[in-house]
Amino acid sequence: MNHLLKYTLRLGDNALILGQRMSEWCGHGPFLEEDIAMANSALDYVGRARLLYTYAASIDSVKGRDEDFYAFRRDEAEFENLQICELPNGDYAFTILRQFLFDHYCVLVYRALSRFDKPSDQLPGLAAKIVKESSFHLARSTKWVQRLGLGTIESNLRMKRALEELWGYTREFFDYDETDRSMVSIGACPEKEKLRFDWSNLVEKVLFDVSLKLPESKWEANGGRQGVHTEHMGKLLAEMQVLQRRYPSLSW
Amino acid sequence: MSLEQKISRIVSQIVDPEIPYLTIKELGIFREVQQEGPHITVVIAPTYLACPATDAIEEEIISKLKDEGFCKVDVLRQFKPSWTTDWITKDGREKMRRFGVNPPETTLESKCGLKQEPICPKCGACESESLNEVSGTVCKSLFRCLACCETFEHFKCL
Repeated sequence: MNHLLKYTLRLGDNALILGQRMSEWCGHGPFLEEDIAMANSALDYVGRARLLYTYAASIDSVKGRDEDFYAFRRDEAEFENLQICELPNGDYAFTILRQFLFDHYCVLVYRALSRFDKPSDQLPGLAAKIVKESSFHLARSTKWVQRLGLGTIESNLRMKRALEELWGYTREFFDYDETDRSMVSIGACPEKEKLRFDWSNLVEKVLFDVSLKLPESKWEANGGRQGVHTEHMGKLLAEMQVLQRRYPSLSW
Repeated sequence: MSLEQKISRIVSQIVDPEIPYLTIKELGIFREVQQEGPHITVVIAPTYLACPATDAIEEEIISKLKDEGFCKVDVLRQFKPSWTTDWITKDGREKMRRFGVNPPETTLESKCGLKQEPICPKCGACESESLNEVSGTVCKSLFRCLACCETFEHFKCL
């Protein structure tokens, strides 16, 4: 599999798996407006996955694959999303903090992809559009982090707990392999140290302002990019894929 | 009237199913018609990547043109340059206000920091509080007017 295809599929997998998680809030949000906002953001992620998969299908040398194939007919080990995307939602502090950490990552990664200079290719344009949408997501998740971080003792405590749990998973953002390096070499992906520096600066400033300290634990997640997942992934896929598995090629 | 103009006129009248008081022309979604022999391509710029209205709009374009006898129609989605709220026409903005949605500022105003407080489309007051960054659809945010206390939507600048 060539690097561009692999990289596109990984971006699509991140978007689809996190979108699926976010959609689980539909009907369970803390209050009506937030329920609708979260469901709409989930829709953005799933839509993003769909377009990335459609693009992937157009460059895949195996013919006959389409967006549904990638989403519904691949097994766990074939998904190469980051593990942070598949973790169960937890409470709203956990959900919002994950969005915040991931939105920052998306803006930086897709911005680099949007500058990838390949005339007549759809991908940079698609990435540019995703940067705009991610900036909206980021504005929302940042406000929430501030609200919960500075809210009550309880909300601050929950944010601290969420940060402890999530921090090690963010290390996977900087776990580059051959594919990432190949994308860096053509200018379509930020350099690892640059990404780490920019992301850390942006995230730490907001967290510092709402008195959330960075965890000291040195544990780092890894393996998502090689198809190694947490125990939560299988259950997520089972629920997401059940209809296409039970009734192949089913359509609405 | 040229064929392209005729097709343009038909497509211009199609409305966005999520904002049914605005046509896709007024929203700036409909970009152009390309013609190569009997083959017609209608270019549209989706507002948001996941906008569920895009599929419906595409089907509507094909079916409306089919009714008029155009059978070889393709719809092309354009991402670059990507859709911006600057493409919403003056009429479109006026209609938005009438239907209770505050239209977006221009991207130039937004970049220069001239972002104005949304104006309540119901009473015209300038003071409001933000309730949520995302409203019924991602393209709008939710505000409450501090004068009349009614909630209203603001179409975000993109």
